[in-house]
Amino acid sequence: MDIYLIDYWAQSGHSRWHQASALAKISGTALTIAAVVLSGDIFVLVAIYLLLAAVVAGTRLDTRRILLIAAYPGLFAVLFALSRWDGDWLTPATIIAKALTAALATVLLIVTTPYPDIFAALQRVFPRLVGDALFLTYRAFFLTLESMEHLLTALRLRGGLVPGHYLSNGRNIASSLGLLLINSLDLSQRLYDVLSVRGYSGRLAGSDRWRRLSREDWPPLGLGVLALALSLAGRAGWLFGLGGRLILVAMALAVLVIVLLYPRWGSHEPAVSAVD
Amino acid sequence: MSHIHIPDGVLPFWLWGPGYALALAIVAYISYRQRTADLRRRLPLLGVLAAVMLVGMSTEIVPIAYHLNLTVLAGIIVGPSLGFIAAFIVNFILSLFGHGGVTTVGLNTLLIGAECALGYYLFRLLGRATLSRLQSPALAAGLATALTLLVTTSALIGIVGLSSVDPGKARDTGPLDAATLSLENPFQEGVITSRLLNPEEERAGDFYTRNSGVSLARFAAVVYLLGFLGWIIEGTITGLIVSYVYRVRPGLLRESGNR
Repeated sequence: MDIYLIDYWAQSGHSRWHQASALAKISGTALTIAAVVLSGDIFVLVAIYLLLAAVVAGTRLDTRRILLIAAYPGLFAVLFALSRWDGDWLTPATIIAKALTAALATVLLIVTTPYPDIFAALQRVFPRLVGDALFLTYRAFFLTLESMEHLLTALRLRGGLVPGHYLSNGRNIASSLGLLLINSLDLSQRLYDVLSVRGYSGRLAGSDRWRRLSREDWPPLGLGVLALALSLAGRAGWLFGLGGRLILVAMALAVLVIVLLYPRWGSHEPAVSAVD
Repeated sequence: MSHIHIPDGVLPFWLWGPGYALALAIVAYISYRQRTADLRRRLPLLGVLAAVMLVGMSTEIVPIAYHLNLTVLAGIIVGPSLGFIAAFIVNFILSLFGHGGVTTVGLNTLLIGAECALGYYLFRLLGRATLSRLQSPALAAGLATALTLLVTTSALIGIVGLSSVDPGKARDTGPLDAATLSLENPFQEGVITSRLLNPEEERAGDFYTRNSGVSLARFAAVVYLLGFLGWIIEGTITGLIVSYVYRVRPGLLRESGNR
């Protein structure tokens, strides 16, 4: 996973979205997720997804790569959606659209906001223990996934996974999971040592930068309100049937195309290139 | 198997609202109590174990609609209190990924947190009885996992019964048809079919509200049947992992007895 790249994008971007406060972006993201949660209408979900993609393109970060990162939870949603198959493709499609849209809203937040600002804000909502643990889980999740990927590759290359040998395969996978757990515990010890060296005394410190409001805060809040309004309108039946919904998606697509054609629209600075 | 995959907007507020309140109250109480404990050392451990649980829960075994929970394992390593916090974090993050609803985070935290606590105490109890004879904690961990999942799955059925939600929509059953208890081809009506293209079906309601005709007893039978397979898989894997940890880092399991 591109966790270092995500950090780099969040720290080095100069778009208007980057300049908005973490508080505004978190509020906008919460409204967007509320819209996703409330909506069961695939057209509304696709329209919100396209609008979010337009914002990503407007930040002048690596749009394709960010969309791929945001599609990652979609892979899990595909499996979940298949298990909910009821003979109608709309059911799994809606589940996948929900997962992709919620994930893109979250990824947009993390690629445009330095993570200390995000967790400084969350620590105000949750108890200290939960806020700090959320932060550490976020850091550890991607590293654990990467370790597991490497372990499974090593297992395959060394003949630990042989087709048809279910018992030995199962035993080897369980041992790999055990090794992953031990590695993760070592990782947690290293993390604690690093935190101690940097002055950790039971609370992760955050700056007040996350709540400094400015006029750049209106776009993220506006997008969240728009997403919620679309979702509620869809539930109330105010989108004029299939035709109205198709027009909605076409308009969102037009916004995305315009931003892709005129990338300077959302940014003050040249594009941020990948560093890995 | 033991946590709820019901989408938002289905469960009544009187059920998920107090569930949230109770889960947050327990989280607040544990956070308050942990201020005096050796929290600094265990906090990174909590984060890493929550991440491991997250990896397990994100990987679904499609044919039986089951995913690993690793909750009992987390309970054994970090104890019941931090296990409950890990359960809240995992459910919160999973709900953002679309796995379970945001409104069900409270109820799911209660179920998964109970798994961590019950698994921890059962492992200690069974471990004392078996470790001296078998020289391996695998059996104790496997049995603790299976028994814990049996209890929490029963609690899940109780919640569905209380909620008066259509049981057929409360849990994924994969290709097993809960209404007929038979394995059916989910593509029998064709791959390309949709309520958008079939207005009559659209009028019958969306997938949140359509009645599946599944009674609570039938739902319980399906969940116990699929769950039984899942408990064997999860119990075996947890047993093997704990056995591995016992061989490589036995101190971790000895520490767990002091929580």
